[in-house]
Amino acid sequence: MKSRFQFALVLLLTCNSIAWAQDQLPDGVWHCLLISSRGVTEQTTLVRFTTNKPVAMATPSEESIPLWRELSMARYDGHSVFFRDPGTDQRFEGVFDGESITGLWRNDHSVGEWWCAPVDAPGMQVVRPRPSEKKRYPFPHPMRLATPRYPSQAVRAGLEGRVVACFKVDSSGKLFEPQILEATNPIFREPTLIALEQSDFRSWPNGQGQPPRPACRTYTFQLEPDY
Amino acid sequence: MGLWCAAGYADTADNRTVVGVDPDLSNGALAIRMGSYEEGIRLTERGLKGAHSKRDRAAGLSNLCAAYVGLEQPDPAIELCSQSLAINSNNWRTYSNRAAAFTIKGLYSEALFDLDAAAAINPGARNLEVLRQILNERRLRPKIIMEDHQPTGLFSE
Repeated sequence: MKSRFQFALVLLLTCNSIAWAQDQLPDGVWHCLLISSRGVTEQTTLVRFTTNKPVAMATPSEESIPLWRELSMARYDGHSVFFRDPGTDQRFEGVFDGESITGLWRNDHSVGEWWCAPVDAPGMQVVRPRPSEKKRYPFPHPMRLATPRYPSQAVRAGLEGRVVACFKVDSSGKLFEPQILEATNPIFREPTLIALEQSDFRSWPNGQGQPPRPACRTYTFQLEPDY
Repeated sequence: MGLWCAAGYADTADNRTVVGVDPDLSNGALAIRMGSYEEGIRLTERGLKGAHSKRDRAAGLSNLCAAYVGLEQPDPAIELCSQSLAINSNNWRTYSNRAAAFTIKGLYSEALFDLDAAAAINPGARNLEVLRQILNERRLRPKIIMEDHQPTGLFSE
């Protein structure tokens, strides 16, 4: 009985140690590119992964030693890595393919991409990472443009905002799978989705059998004073 | 438009409605609160003739202003509120009443100015919040700008 217990304990420890080995990202510093959901802004940053220590982030600088800021501990499941920046509330999730990390970051309002490549030397000889080439499609031509209704509640409260929505357009010009990527205030979500439902695009020639094209639309809700 | 007419027989910077010694002013304030504006004006004007204290006079004029706002007559309302504020410039209800009168007249920047003045004296007043909503509804023109763009890859295949 005792030996069976010992065997189980050994097996458990062995399993744990195997899992431990798989649960680690290689220690090191990575040069990362953080891209906003609209692709308008991008930010370069250094990210450091160290075993049993929180992830750290710093702004790259050629002249001074980077000032590291501690984030959360990283969780790595052997495929994806997860961590959070408590300062910006960005939640990072990325896939480590053995050479680079690619993934998405999210906070309550927006979502974007991040991409990291390892920094070779401690002297920070940074090679600027290049996100893999994305497949670019010709942008679908809008045919019917529905304008969202400005919520009267938002007008009364003097609320302005912005919504970024992405969707796909099939070869007949029909819009489908709309998804809100960013909404500065939830009050603008519903009118945006309704407007998208009422919008469509021109069908493209010889489009039969072609894959749907992705597209995004940003609605900026503004209030102009009438004096 | 009746939302901003609860001027009461109001005193200065707090939320209290002070019932004055003059029964005409008190009854006039109550009549205005009940929406009987003409009756409120009649009683308040009669009460003002016997009002000797500055405080009573300022409150009576403010109430008259509220009554004219209720009757949607912004010009006499603005004049009366301004007279009241010349006596007592610390009555948030008077600023609120004049803001309402300016709103009726379409003078939105003046209304906003008075509304801010009232809010500075009594920031938590519900009346002011409602009036600001009405003012926003009238003075702000909604505009929606649309921009199509390629996904950055996040949504691409």
